Amino acid sequence: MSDLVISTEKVGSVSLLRLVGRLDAHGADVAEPSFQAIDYKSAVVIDLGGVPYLSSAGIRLFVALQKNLQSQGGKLVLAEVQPYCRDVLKVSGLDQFFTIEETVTRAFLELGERNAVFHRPVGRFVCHRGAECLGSIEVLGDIGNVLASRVTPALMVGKKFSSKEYSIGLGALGPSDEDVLPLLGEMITIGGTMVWLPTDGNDTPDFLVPRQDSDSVLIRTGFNVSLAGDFNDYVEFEAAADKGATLAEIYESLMAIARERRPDFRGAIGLAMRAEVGELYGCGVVKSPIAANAPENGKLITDPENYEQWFEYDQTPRLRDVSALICGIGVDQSADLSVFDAEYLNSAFYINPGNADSTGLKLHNHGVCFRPFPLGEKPWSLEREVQNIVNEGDFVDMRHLFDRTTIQWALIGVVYVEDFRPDSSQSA
Amino acid sequence: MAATAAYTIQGTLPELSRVAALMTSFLEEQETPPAAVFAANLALEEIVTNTIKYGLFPEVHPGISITVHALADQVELVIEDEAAAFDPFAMETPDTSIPLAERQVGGLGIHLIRNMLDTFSYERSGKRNIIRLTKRFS
Repeated sequence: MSDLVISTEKVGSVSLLRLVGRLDAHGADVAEPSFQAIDYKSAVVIDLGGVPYLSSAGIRLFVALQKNLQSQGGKLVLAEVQPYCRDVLKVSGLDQFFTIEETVTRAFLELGERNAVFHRPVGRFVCHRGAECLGSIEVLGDIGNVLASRVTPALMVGKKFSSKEYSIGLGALGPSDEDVLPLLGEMITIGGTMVWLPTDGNDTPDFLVPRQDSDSVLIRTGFNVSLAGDFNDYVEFEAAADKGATLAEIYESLMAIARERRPDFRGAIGLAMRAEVGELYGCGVVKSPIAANAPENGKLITDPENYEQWFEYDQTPRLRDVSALICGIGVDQSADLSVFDAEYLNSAFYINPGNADSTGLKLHNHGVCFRPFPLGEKPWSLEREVQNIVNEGDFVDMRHLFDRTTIQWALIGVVYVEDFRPDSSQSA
Repeated sequence: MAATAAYTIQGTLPELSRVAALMTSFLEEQETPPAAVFAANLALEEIVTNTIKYGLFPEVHPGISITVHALADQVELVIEDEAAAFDPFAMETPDTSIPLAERQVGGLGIHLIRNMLDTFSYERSGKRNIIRLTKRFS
């Protein structure tokens, strides 16, 4: 049997000790140096979720630590104590001398620390609390018109965008709706930049960073989904595996974290991320979905009969080891989605045949890729890292992303979604 | 259902962890309930650490022998050594009602055995200490 493994990290004001393995007499010997290295003036959380066995030797470690913390002004909370270990604490008569919380999150809250760290099978998530108020997803246009290839000038909207705009959709840049209509393609706005994949046959993205004093630039779009509201959590993600975790796995984890962190979580999130991508799989529409291009068979452009002609899509990774900016939305299909306005919810997602199933989740993500780009100094800010790569990075590509795209590391701004609603920024 | 396993511990804590793992696998194979497996682990560890700390000199000692009987309704553990005579159950039970800061933490392991096992006994037979423990289950 392998030895107890102990890791220590500082999250906000809290020292988090994570123990994995048997906390027997030998385990206690292994753990002792880490316990002695603790600052006894600090708040300490011990995550015992990975400890199936505890004996008097382990309890003695906790008692010694508690005495030191109490004498110097620190605090201790034990979290995720497994059932038999809890019995041992109880029988020892010492359970009343320790604060015990169900989860690491609650332990952090007990200590007044709103940041938290989550260890999930796919990797490690460090969460820093942002805005309290839930956000929204705003939907402009109907994905149905895109999928049926019936976008008309009357359905086009000129949309202003700011440096805070995080959105995905179908759009173009150009002098007028009539000019751009035949070129409409996948688009993303992030960090004050609009990147789109014109359907001019070249499969080459176009990139625009408007001058700050220019608010006259309009995105011409037939369908757009944007995040509204401030980020509720800023999450630093580090994958457990070298090639990374899939977008689906990251969304799944973020939703599990949301359920723990936010009792008001409703089953939908929006996010923006500055990511290091392991393997990028994606697609792009290659014809503008306007009435003149509508499939003769009358079926959707995503129908298996039409998909090959309408989409350039990846069956092997298009890119490996690139830096990226990603914007996307996701819903947990096991949640009660009747709380959302069905019209706008259903307009935000569609089934893409090239995208392998993500069990229980519906996702919609676009990403813009750069050559590997260095991160700035810690502490990281999502907004600053996004600006840096937009201003200095070597632009490579832009795609609709499939859920199997892998992320090795990311700074993620997460919006917990209260509602799906009509776009509020229109200036048509 | 009845099966027996025997082990020898050469008097170091990593040795104890190794034997605890073997015993756990053995009991799990016998489909002993998890709560009884846990109690057997606890009993093994608390007795053997006491012996290692207080009684045993590994360089001159043949080791601590462990015999585990997995029965239909209980686990029996027999722990024997040739250290100086020492009855762990003769020790005073710690007073768990007094504040932590004033509490001595010794004797906690024996307190756990008294409360989490069903029977426990000590016998001195010749030059051997023999401790028997049982954990019942239904």
